[in-house]
Amino acid sequence: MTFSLLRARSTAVWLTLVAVTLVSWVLGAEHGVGSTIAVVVLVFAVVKVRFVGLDFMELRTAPLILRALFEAYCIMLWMVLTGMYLWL
Amino acid sequence: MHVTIEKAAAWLGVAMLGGFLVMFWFIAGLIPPMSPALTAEQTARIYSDHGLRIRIGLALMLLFCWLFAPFLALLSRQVRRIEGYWGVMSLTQVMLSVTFPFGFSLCALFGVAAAYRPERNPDVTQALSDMFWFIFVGLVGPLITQVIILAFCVFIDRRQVPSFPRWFGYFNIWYAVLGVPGCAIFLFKTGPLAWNGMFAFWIPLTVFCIWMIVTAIMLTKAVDVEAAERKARAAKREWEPAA
Amino acid sequence: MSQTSLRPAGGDQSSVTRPAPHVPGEPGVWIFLFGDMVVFGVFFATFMYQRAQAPELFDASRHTLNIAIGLTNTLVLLTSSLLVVTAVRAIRLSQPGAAQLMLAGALVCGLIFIGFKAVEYTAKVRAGHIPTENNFYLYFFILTGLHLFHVLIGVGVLILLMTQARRRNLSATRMAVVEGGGCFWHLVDLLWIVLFALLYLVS
Repeated sequence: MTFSLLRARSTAVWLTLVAVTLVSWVLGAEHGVGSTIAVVVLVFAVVKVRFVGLDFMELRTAPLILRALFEAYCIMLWMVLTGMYLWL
Repeated sequence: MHVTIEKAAAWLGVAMLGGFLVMFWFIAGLIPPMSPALTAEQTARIYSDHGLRIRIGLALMLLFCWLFAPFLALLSRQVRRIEGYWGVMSLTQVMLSVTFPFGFSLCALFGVAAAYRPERNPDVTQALSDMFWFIFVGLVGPLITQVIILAFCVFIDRRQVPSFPRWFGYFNIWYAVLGVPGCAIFLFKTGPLAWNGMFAFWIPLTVFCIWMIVTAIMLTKAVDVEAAERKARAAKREWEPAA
Repeated sequence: MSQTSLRPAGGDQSSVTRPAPHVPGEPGVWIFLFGDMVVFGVFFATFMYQRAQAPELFDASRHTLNIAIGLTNTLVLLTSSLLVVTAVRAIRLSQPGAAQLMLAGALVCGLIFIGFKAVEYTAKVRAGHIPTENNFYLYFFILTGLHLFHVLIGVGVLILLMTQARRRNLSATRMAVVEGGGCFWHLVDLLWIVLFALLYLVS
């Protein structure tokens, strides 16, 4: 019974998240200061955040205003953190 | 008559918030806060250079901070309405409300004492100044406990027309969580958890201002709910609940 | 207010097919969740600002972190989130047994995270890395400490969810509380994803 529950989108999303985490780790563990790899890692982090919000928090099926606010948050987070990394 | 006084109490709270900012920021200049990492001499220098501003601003605060009381009394009354009688939660609200103006007046006393005699030993001035900041920024327990109880009351309110909407409960929890870092200032002299830091000062200050304004608005609405219920009861000739 | 969740007919397990937009939890919860996300966003930006003041220091200090613990904690939280979202679905489908099992699993994950954090903190302090050592470690302990505070609250929320999962048919309000509680746990996961990236990888 439990296993049939797991045969759903959320499990697929989880596998993706785990994969992205591992890739981020492999890429990001060793890199110098001010590298493009860090930018990639930030992108991956925001992508993961977006998946958690849309599929785990179920914002994909939420009213537009909630989803829009969340997507705006993701974009702002990515822009601010990446911008600060590259240009401060 | 009740309604006018109660709504005035709510807005008096907001007015006092403005007053607090004017007194501490524009008059006394104590916001933005001085650094805890300064030496005793540097701290004493601040209190002697700006002594007059500081003393005037804090003296005004000592006089006026008690005007927070009606706002808090209204808050306690609304909790009592939800609880149904003067129970544990309402009475705790009252007790903690008593400490609220002290948070401002007690710290102000230490602040004026620090600025009172510029010619004294700088170490003594610094000690008094430290007490000001500790009480002003570090005494977070009473208000956080108050808002957690308020949030709890909002959630358990099972009446047909509740005094507060449910989102207000979540709002209070948000405020409580963000107010907590203030308690860490006793452990740090620099960084975001010092009394001039981002997490321990600026965020709690911002959140406090938002909380007072939002709560004042919600209290005004709750007063309307109560007035409507009173009217409905009068029409049905029911007894009013005891105070 | 949120609609009562409908049980999908014919055993359709996908949670995506809903007749109309549904607010996960209730609108009020999102005031808290978004509020927390925004404030943590400010914390993240503050960290990045501090990093820009001393990039070499931050990078050097970052390398003294045990990235294996960070990675494991990330995977543990991701798994716990999967368990929570599946448990919520089980509750909707009136399968209290499965739901309780999943929530217990998520709870165990939460405790594992706390355990690893305790190990990590102790190891760091024993190696001489204390919050007052430098700016990196100051922010490391403060940010992960604040997050840990959220994890502890989250564990409490999970226990609350477990008590609700025992029922077969939940009212709309109770279901909203369950969904809201689940979303809080996902928030804890979400914040850690960013923290892991910032503290362990990007610094």
